Amino acid sequence: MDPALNLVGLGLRLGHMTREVEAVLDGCRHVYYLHDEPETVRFLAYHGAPLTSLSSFYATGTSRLETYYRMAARVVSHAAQDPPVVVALYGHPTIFSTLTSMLLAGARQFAVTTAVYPGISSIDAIIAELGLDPGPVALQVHEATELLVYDRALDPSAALLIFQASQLETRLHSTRPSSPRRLEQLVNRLAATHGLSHVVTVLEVQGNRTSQHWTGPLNELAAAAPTFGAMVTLYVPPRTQPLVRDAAILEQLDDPTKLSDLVQ
Amino acid sequence: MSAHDGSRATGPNFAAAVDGPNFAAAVDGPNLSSAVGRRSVQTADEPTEANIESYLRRAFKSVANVT
Repeated sequence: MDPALNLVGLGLRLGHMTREVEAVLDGCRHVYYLHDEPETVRFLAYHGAPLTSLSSFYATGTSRLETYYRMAARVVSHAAQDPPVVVALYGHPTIFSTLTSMLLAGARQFAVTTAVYPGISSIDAIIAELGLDPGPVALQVHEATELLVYDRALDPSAALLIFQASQLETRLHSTRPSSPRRLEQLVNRLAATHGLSHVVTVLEVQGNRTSQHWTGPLNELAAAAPTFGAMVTLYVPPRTQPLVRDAAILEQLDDPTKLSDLVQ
Repeated sequence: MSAHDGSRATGPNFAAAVDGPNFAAAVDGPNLSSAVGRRSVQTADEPTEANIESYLRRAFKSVANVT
C-alpha cells in the first residue's frame, strides 16, 4: 500500500527536482508546498493535483511553532481522510524542518503511513560553494539558537556550519533586517573556542543563488548583521592547530594483514 | 517500480536525525523514525485537525528551537 503522506524534497531550484519526486507528484491527490521559486511552483501545478501553499499560514509576530502546529494538523488530517497527499518542501524534508518532525509525529500518532523522499539541501549547496569536503576536516552542523540554548560543545579543529544565524533568539516571524544585537551572543560563544580574530564567512542560499555574502573576523560579524538576509548560514573554518594522530591506526591503514582481520 | 519504491527514509541516518536529544526529550513515546513507512494505530481519537493539533502541542511543548 502506498503511503498516505509523502514528504518530498524539491531542492533549491527546479533543476534539482528528482525523477523520483516527479513520480510521487504524479500519483498524489493533493500537494501542499513551501517553495518561493515561481518555476518550481509552476512545475508542481503542471502535475495536475490541486495545490495549496503553506506560506499563507505565516503571519508577522506569530510564533513559527504555532504556525507549524496548524500546518501539520491540516496536512495530517487531509492525508488521513483523502490520501495520498504530498508535502513538497524547499531543499531536503528532514534537514532543518520542524514542520517535517511534526508531520511525522502527528502521522504516527494517528496511524497515517508516511514516506520521505530526499532533495538537494542547503547543506549540499553550501559545501559545493565552499569547495568543502567534510572527510579530511570533519564538519559540525548546528542551528544557531539551539547552539546557544543547549550550549553545545564545539570542536575548533573541525569545520562548522551554523544555520539560521539571522533568526537567532526568537521564534517570532519577521521580515525586518536584524540589528547587530542579534549576533552578539553567538559571537561571544564562538570567541571562546575560536578567538575574535578568526575569519568567518556568511553565506546566503536563495533560489538559484548560493553566494558568499560577507567574510571577516568574528569581532566584526555583529556589525554586519543588518546586511544579512533571512536565510543566512555562518561558515566557521577550522582553527589551524596541530591534530593528535593515533600512530597505531595510521600504521595499519595499508597493512594487508589488518585487512584480512577485518573481512570475512 | 512503483513511484514509492526504494527511497523510504528508514535507514540509520534518518533515525539518528529524529532520535536526537532534543526531539527525544520533547516528543512523547517511541522514536519518530518508527513512523516512517509503517502503519500502527496509536490513538482512538479521530484524525481531525483539532485532535492532531492538540496532540502536537503536547508532544512538542519542550522544543526550544524551530527550523
